Amino acid sequence: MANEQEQKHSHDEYERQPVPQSALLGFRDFVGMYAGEHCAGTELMIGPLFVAAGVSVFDVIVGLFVGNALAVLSWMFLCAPIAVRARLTLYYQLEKICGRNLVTLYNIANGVMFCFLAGAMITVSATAVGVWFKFPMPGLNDLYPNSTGWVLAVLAVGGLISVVAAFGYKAVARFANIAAPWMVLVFLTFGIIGLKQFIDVTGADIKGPGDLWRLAGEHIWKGGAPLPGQVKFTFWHVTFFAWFCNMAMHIGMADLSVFRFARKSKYAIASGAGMYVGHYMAWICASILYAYQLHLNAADTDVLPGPMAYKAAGIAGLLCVIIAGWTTANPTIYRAGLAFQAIIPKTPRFTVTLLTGALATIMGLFPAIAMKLLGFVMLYGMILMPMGAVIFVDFRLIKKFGLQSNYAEMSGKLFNWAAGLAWICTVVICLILVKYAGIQIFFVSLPGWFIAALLYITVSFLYQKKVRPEEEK
Amino acid sequence: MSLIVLTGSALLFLAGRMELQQVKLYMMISTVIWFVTATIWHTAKKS
Repeated sequence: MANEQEQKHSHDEYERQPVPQSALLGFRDFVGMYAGEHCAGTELMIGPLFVAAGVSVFDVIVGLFVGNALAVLSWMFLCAPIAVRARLTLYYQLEKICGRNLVTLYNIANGVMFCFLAGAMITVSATAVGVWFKFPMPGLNDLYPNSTGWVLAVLAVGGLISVVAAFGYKAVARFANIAAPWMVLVFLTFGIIGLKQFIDVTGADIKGPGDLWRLAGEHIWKGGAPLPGQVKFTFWHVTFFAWFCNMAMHIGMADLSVFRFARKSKYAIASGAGMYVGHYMAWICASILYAYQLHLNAADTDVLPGPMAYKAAGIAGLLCVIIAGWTTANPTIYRAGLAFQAIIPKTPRFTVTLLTGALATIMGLFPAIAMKLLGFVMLYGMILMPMGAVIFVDFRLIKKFGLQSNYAEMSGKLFNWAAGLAWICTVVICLILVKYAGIQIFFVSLPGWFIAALLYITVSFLYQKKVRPEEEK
Repeated sequence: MSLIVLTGSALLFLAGRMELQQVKLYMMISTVIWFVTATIWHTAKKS
């Protein structure tokens, strides 16, 4: 099936074959990978947006702990077991189940979502430029660019990131490995410095954890009404957000491509390094900075990582914002480029990456994505999650119903309608539930997963020729 | 060492032993040292 060129390339990255034993990686490789990847520019937006959403100290400290634990368990028990048994990339696994044409649609959706995400990261980095050039930057509820300076900054930052992603992805990836430990610690210093500033400005006398908890509850994460234009977040919002923000990766099975290199499925516990460093520590520390900004001036509701980081940690903080945005926009643009290239395989990767970067830069101009990042991340997960349910059902359950797994491969079909309908109908049903049934987007993916699983099985009954299980013959 | 100075200066600020301006200066210096030395180390490791 694969032509000679594909086979040659596949020996390097095993894109169309199972990863051999000789290429498997140790536990520490995954720890480093996850810790570095999840300390990104977007953490500097998400933490502050929690504060804007009116969270309480219990919501943040306990909710994030529980939600991140659920994410790690999802990697460990849903994604990794399939990854170590099949040892295939997500795309090749999907192709066997869904057919090449359906996977192409999935790639388009994935690529577009990656572009939006990269756009948000470009926005984050551009706020650092604003510290030097002092142009008006977007407010919390702004949807469109609000100054020429902002437009120029985003174009410059996004353009540079795109060119570097096209020319030198590997060089930036190496730089990201160097920057990762430094970035993690700079995030930590944001929290330490912010905490001290709160202690000083409130005159709090901290003698123990109880005093710290009281300070946090009274001044940092105070609960109560959200800022105007923001959705009110409760414990459950925080928990589900932490669980589902990487839904595309665990429940959505994108990290099949990562854990196919793991010797054992329990290595997926390494995802905890990313969750508790990036999605616990970094979110908490970034939110402290914003809470302090609001404490000093309640009318200053702008969520701008550049100025916040500069006030707390000076040039080092500013560099952290730029590097955090850049080092994660780079692989995101690259991945989006790969996804789009699957549709136009004859176009050089350089050109596709550049065009993808340009698209991400245009998206970065509109602060709507960054300012509404909490909702966007949930939408991203919701759109891609149904295919994860399809993979899970196909791998674990479908034969128990007397149906065939990898149906597209078995039948030669390029579009498995059972998988396609399960995906599209689930997304539509979820959107209807959000719009008309009062289920917020932060929660709808939980029932959505079961809806996708049920739809896939039900439609497969109608769509496939039945294969009798061995014991009935 | 540079990462220890980076974090340590923030902890000294928390303990009331250092002013914020000093912390920012130490953080900037340790950032430069980290990137220079880590890059040299990575390059040497690769070759």
